[in-house]
Amino acid sequence: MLPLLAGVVPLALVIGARAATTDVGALAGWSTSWTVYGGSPQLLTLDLLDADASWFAIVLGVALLNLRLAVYATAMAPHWRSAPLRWRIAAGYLLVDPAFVVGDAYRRHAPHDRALHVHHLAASATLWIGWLAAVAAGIWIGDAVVAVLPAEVVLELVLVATVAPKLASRRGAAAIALVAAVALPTLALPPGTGVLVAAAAGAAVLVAGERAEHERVAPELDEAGPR
Amino acid sequence: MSVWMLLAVLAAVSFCLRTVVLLAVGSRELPPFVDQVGRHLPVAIFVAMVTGGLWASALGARSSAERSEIVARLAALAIAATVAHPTQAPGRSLLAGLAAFFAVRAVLG
Repeated sequence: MLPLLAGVVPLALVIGARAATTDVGALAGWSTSWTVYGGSPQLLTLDLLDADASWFAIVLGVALLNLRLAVYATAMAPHWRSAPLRWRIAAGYLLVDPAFVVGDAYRRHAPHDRALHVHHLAASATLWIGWLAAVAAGIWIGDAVVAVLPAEVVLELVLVATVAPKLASRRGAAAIALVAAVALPTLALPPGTGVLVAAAAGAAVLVAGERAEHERVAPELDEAGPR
Repeated sequence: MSVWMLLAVLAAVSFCLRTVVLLAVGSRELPPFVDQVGRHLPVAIFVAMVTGGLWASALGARSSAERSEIVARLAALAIAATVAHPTQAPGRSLLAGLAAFFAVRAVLG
């Protein structure tokens, strides 16, 4: 988790700086880190509060952006059935994109579900503490961060740095092309929903590619037979 | 509604979205398809967030400075992805991407 934490610290600094430069107030701006907790929904909350948007628009926008977390939770659920209730509550509260990526990567090597739960929660808690500290540092540093680090660019780079290693294949390239094509017409949709539609198309391509590869490899293994 | 009341509502909404599924599934078996899709979702969502943001900025770019910024962002993403693949180090990839962004923006003015 520490390399990922190093990757998301610049984004947390930018969010802290944004909180310091808006009319929201430093304490309320920092508090979005443990109430909303997440890069893009926090930026949206701060921007909309600064623009005096209605509370309904803010709640709806954050809910739509966080819908993907419900999707992550659905993917995690089969592996967390055996976890105690308080562990599941903690895992849910601490669930953000990098935490899911780390847990999902470890799941493939985890000897059993309990090891996965301990690893996932420890990594998520580390990320949460680091995030709160980095946002506070961003508030303290203030304007200088915004001048040096453009928020949009940092957010995009954090996302790309997290997933790029998984996309270096023909299937990955096809998924990127499809997601990009689907993302264009979904721009008119409310924030967050377009992302879900485009992501669903990309995930469908990746799943279809995985199935096709499985069907191609399975007969070859059958033909090879037991030696 | 005060800021603090709004934050409380946002906290409740965010918490529910994150935890309801984890709590509701309980000991029920989910179809293998859920697991299969779940493995690919972060990648697909991240790609969708990046491409969606880039499309929106590209369509909204009017001045040559804004267009230069889009080119710089594309260059930064390409460099970050190139560095991230062999090194698997997000921090290094982020730094390389930022360096590329500022270099291209400075060259294009």
